[in-house]
Amino acid sequence: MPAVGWARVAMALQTLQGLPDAVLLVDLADGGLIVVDWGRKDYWWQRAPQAFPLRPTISKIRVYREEGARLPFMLEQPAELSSLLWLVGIHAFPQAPAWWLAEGVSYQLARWPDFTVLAHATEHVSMTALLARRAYSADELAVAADVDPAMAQSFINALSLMGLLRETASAPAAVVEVRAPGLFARLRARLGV
Amino acid sequence: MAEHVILFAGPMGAGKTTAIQTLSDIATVTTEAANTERHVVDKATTTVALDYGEITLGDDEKVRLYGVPGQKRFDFMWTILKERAKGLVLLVNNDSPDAVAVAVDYLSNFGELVESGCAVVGVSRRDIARYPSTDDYADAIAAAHPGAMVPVFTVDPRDSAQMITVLLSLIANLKEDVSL
Repeated sequence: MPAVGWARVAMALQTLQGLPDAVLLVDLADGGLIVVDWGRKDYWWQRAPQAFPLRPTISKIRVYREEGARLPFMLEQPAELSSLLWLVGIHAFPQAPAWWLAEGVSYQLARWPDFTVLAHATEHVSMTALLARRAYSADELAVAADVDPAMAQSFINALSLMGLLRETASAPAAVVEVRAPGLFARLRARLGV
Repeated sequence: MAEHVILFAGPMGAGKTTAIQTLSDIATVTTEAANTERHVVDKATTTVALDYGEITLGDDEKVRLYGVPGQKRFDFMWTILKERAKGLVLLVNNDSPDAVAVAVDYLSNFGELVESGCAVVGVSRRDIARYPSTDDYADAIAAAHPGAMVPVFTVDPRDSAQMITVLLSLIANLKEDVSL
């Protein structure tokens, strides 16, 4: 299947995992330009739209892997790359695993995302806490967190693109127990989120 | 009455008082006095005993929010409160000298909470100083506390949505709170 839209960008970004330096340029059909400084974990979006476009048309992607590759000096005020990786990871593969994820693999959290700079739902926080405790496949995570399987899968995709997950061999199916709502649930209800 | 004590710690001027005011249901109790260490932080007043706020969860349950004094000469207060604490929110200023080292040093005073996954770090003033990054903090904390995964967030203590995310992340990470 050819990579289009954010899937194409996600696949290009995924190839940069582990590289110390790289610059990636994404030309959008609307005239926008996204420049990613992989080494500094920054990005810059020329002519960024008001809202994140869910189905962009990508004209061209260029990757420069030279050591020391950095955003050009005149590109001021870059944003944190994690916020772009999050949005691309969430939207690139609707209801499907990211193409680099293997079947029969479970995932455990390596590091918490900086949620306050990400457009997130409270369910993302609870899924993160679950992944911090043990490994889950996307389907198991959906059951454990009581969320839609597509939401759990897009969350796994995003954390994977952000480099925040460790892969493990498939773990035994998680036992989901019905319990009284915990402090998290009571506090969430009280705070209305 | 079920109570859950959450501590807000960190150096002077990191935003502990503001964070508690942002989250609390009640008018917070703040005990501030003239700052005698203006050579350290240019701030007219500072907390000398405790800040206190609370979130009521029903007739018989409260989350109690305590801000402990930032100056190390009051660290005896930390000892008193951490025995009751369910979790810790450490706030640090990103534009202070050696901010990462300061965070690691503060966390070392709350080792039991950190090792048991009951701590989060909020990095304030990242709009003033983008670096160190939150990854820099997470790397240093992981080196000091292998096996502990401490969430590190960018925060503006005045922003209620951000402070709610910080508090919910802390609660979600508590091992005892298995029901999410």
